[in-house]
Amino acid sequence: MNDITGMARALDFIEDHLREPVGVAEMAAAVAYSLYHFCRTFKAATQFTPYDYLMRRRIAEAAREVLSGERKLIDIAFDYRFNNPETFSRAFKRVLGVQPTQWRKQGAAGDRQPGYRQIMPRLTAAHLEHLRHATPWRPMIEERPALDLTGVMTLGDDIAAAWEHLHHELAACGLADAGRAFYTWTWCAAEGGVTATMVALADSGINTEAGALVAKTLPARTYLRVPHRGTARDLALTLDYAYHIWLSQSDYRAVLPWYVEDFGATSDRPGDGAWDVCLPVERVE
Amino acid sequence: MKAEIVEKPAMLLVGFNFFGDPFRSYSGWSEENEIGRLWKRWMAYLENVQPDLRHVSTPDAMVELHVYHAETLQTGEFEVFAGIEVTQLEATSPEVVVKCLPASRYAVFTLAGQEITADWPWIMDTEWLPALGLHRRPTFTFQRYDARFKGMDALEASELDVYVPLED
Repeated sequence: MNDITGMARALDFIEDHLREPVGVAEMAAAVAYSLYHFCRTFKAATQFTPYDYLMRRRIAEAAREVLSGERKLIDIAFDYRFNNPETFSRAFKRVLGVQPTQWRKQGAAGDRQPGYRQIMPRLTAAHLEHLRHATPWRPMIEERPALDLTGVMTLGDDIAAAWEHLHHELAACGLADAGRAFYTWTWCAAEGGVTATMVALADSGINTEAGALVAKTLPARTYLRVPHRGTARDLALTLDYAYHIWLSQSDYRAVLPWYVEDFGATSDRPGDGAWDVCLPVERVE
Repeated sequence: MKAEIVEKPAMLLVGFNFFGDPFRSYSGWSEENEIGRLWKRWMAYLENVQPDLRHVSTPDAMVELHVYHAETLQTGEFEVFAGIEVTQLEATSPEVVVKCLPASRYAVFTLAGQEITADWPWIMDTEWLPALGLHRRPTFTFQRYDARFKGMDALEASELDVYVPLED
């Protein structure tokens, strides 16, 4: 059994015991590691200590139940092995930035899911494989200038058709693709909710009056820039890494329900390979 | 792996320690994890202050002690101590911690080369000790580093001894 397989089994064990009084020693024994070696290997594989991961997953699942609004907070707290409401509230606020009561209130108030992208998902073997390669990528906090985008906006996930249409529109305007910097801007405010994507190039001088092109300006602000390596299908893993692993253990938090993919200057349609994902963030006071 | 059973009298150790998950900040076999940083602190102290540290029993041998506390099995946090054996106590700086290990019977396993970074505690608990018909006291273990240990970058040429206290 290699370490990825062993730690993937540990993740399964943790999921099966979120509501049980399980400790790190039991996780280690379940996958035939010593406590010492398990703690070291789990951290290397997931970038979380095992106990921290367990607590974050408990809070994540509890947070979903708090949002549903059907059960008493104290019952949810006990279900996820928090001994009293105070401990639950403290852990909840540490992970999600608000008290459970406020979380429930925000959820009931609007259609935007509070803390979306903060609820720690269950990590899988695919995440561990991705992380194994992600380690040297080194995300960066950076100030980026305002960005004028011109492109095609689409709802849903048929991005390939949007790229096709963008190139068609550019050709109709007599504009060549070569040497231009391409971007996507993707907005999604709730888990499983509507996704809006703009495929675009950085240019404010294109006449958008006649065709299907639209313009959008992203103001200058602070971003977390995460290098993405792999296919477009792997993007969800890079986003999980950025939102739930890197940011959740940093002094920064995501502040807006969108991100930008920066493909740089490319002579072909962006696709497999290497590009950057940029998330608007702010420093946590 | 070589094994022997030894009786040791009570031991006095002086050194530095910390309690927590040693891999919280970094997980690799590197000086950047908490254990590596502990050793750096202790070795820097020894270099600067050792002339004041008398009664050292074996100056060329260092000890890394792992102590399990009440919450260790729950949280994975434990105490790690890096230090040296002394024959008697003396006044030391406030940052120095003293450990008194009781007289005990120990299983001593000598690890060589890649065995050092393998999961030897698991192998010890599930293979070595059962094969010897022995049970360990689940309170602490220590590793003794002497001239045979050449460093993590010369693992193949290195050996160290692991001391495991046994149930009476």
